[in-house]
Amino acid sequence: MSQKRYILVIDSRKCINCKACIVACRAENRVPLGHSRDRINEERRGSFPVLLATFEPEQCHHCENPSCVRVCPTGASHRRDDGIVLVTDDTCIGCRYCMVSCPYNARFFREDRGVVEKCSLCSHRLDRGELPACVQTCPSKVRACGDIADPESEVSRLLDKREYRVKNPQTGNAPQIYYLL
Amino acid sequence: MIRKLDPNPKNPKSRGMLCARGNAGLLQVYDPKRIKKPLIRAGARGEGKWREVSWDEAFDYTANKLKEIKLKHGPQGVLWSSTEAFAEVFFKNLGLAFGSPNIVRHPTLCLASVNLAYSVTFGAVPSFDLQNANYVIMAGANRFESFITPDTMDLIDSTMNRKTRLVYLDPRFTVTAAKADEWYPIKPGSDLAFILALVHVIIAEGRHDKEFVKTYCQGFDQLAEHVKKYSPEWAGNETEIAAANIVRIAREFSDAAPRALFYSGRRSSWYRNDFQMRRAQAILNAIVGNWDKQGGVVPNSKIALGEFLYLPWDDPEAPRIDEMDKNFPLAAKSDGAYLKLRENVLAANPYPVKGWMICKQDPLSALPDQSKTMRMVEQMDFIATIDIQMSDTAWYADVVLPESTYLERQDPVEVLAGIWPVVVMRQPVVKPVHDTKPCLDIVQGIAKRLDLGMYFDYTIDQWNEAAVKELPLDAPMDYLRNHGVYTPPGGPNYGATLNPDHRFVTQSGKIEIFSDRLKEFGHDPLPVYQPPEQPPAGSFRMLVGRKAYFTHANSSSNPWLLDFAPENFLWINPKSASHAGIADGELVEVSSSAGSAKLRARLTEHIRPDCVSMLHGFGKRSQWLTRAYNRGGNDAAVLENGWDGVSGNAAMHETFVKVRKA
Amino acid sequence: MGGFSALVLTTLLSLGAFAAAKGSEGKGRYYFRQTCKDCHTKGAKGGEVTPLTKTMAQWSSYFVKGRHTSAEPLAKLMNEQQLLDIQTFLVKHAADSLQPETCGK
Repeated sequence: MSQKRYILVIDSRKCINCKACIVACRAENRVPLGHSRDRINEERRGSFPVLLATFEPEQCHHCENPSCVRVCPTGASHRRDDGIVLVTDDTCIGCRYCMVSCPYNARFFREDRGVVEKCSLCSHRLDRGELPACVQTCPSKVRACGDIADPESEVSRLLDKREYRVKNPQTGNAPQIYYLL
Repeated sequence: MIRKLDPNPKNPKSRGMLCARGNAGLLQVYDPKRIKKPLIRAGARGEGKWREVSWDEAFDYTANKLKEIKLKHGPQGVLWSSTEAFAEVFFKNLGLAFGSPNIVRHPTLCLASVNLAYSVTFGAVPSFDLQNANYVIMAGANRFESFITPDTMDLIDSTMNRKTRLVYLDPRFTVTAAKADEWYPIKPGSDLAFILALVHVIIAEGRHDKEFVKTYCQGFDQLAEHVKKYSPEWAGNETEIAAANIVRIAREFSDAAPRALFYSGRRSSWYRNDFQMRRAQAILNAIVGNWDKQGGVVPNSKIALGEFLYLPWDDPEAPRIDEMDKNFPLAAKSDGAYLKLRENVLAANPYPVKGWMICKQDPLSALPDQSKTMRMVEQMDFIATIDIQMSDTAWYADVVLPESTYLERQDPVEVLAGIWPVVVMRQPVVKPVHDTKPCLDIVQGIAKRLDLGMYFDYTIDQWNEAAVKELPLDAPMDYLRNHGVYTPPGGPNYGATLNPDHRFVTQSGKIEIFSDRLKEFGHDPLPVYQPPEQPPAGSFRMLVGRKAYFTHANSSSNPWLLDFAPENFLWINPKSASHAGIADGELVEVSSSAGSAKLRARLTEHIRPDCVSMLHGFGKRSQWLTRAYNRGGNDAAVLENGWDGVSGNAAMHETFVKVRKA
Repeated sequence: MGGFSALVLTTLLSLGAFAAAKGSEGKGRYYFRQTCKDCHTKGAKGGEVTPLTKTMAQWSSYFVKGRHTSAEPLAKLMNEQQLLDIQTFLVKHAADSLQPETCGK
């Protein structure tokens, strides 16, 4: 079997800012109060009555060339062969270089344990064949998560069919969240 | 220990999703400020001093108080109020078996006007086939922040994937407005003018479904005559929606029919003319012939559940205190009319009501004009509340009976209605963490001590066995235990009523565009427009609304949810705020003739300059709702009393307020 | 049309007074489910009957005239009070009755 490579595809137009993904993540990953591993960026423009509001879910981009991994002095931040970027609690010393280096502000410092935490793409769920909590719970099914190495996967088909963009490609991080246009 | 809740992928209603509130539901179970044992008040009402007691003591105490009131004032002296829940039937039956006519349910705080309007017109309350509609007009229903399954998911899917056109009317720029193809910040209270003008254009241009109207409807000719005066130009002035747009929308809507619908929504407690406005929506749907068709307005399919044959009790002797027969003779009597009821309780008219049994309801938060509700609380000799948390109303009760949460109890089997109805059975996933009981056990505990035990002589399993025994399954209970949901084969149903011999459940047996029955009872047989009163200079119309992460006033103390809105703000347009010298984030006082609330101002372009708005569920009085207690402002304190004259539905958008720096 | 609605209204009013005097809707519902439903369900020998099967006027005259001719006479199945209760229940929920739909039960 060929090597899997997990990515996220997000159709922000369908996002209604309901926060289900954030709460599902809190429950699944016991995220400490006051923090979250995923977020919804809101943009509001215009003045009454000509108005615009957009919502864009964001979390760790699980970059192919992640700056957080490069700067980590202990190897706690690492990238699995299937593309998922993780932090190993035991070896994280809480220096927070990774937080500074992340172009997506996708990490936070967890005071109670002295470690840095972030979206794991629910690797534990993916490993047992389930979708990440945020993907599963979403009422409007904004996100798709799957194996880009498999041409038959939902994510591959979406990227074949639709235009898309990634955020801040100039960083050289090769981010792996694909936003459909 | 519950770690995480996942959606049930087999339920076609939720379509494999769980909203933020569903995901946060497990915190209800582990809330450190839960009601952990039955409580009897030890200090003054509202002082927060409680004595933890055994269930036996709580039941004895409650039953003795109920007996005292019955002896003094008769069984009608006790009011039984509840909000829709699977187990509501047990509580309601206890009130009826006790002999009280005074059972009041939630619809007149919610959607009574829609229910009655569609019942009068079609003889049924239908569903709206958003999954297949190509053109949807929605007014205020804000389906992307006020979730209903499956409507919310269907609408986002159809507007974003299938390119269904969504025309949305709302004085606020909500998420639904942001996602709509067209948004109109309509002048509040003028929705009826917009709808009548659509009907006007459709009939004037001969765009109605003539065959359908002829076969199934009565009173079309009277309608055609009636709407002649409601021209788009006239409506343009009333609504502030340009006449050209009204004409275009009417044409597009009728072109798209029958896959076009005017969506009714749920909470239809807006204005004093709400019933007639919903009637006009129903009539508009009728004349384009979208009834019972794919993408249209479809009567719910039925799944007949069996019923446990419990013993019947005597009908109550006294009339209802809200005098439904006199005040709202067409409305659903068994639901009551909450605000009229409160008036009559306060006036002891026609008799005193001195006991109040409450189940899964928080009247102090849910009813407009909190000070009136507080007076009602004060004049009661006895109040008992069944709830999972210390609501504001529970805080002022004499006895609090803690119900097990939905994750700890077996609920009765129920049908969730719809175009594709399902049978659901909610089962416990953990044993009760504290000394709590399911509703049926609480009802039985009280009933036994009132010598009414024989009417509740069954277990929840017997009740459920009886309910499911006729489902076309080999072992229905096992099936529901394993799957949680039963979905009848075949998918959505359309067209069952589209047979010229079909008798609609109306007076004439036809779809009633013109209603003789309304006329007989002294109401307009066709919707007549009255221009709404406008706020005087310096005042604003107060609007209420929802966020997707709070359930009514119930979940604002949940830490996983409160994080998104730790307090509520007063939405005010920057133009209006600058007139009043109010800056963003500044503390303001909002006041009406009913009362006032203090909260911080949020200057936002997302609201009309003549309106202000605040999120429901804040400014709590109960100190056990630790995160919402005394935080932000309480809309119930500001909203004035008032209702729709036909349905009795509360009118929650008829309050004019003044705003000043606090 | 006007004559028809006037007739229904009269019937409704007289029934209202009549029901208040004697019949019990709640008990009628019970007897209907307990006794009538034995034969009057889908596929059973009496065929399905629900309150919606007839109009208010039809249910009233049905009991006045003592129909049910193709089976046991009603008087043999139940006593007078029980029949009155059933009639009250059926009239109150008839096809043209004032029973708007609501949420839940």
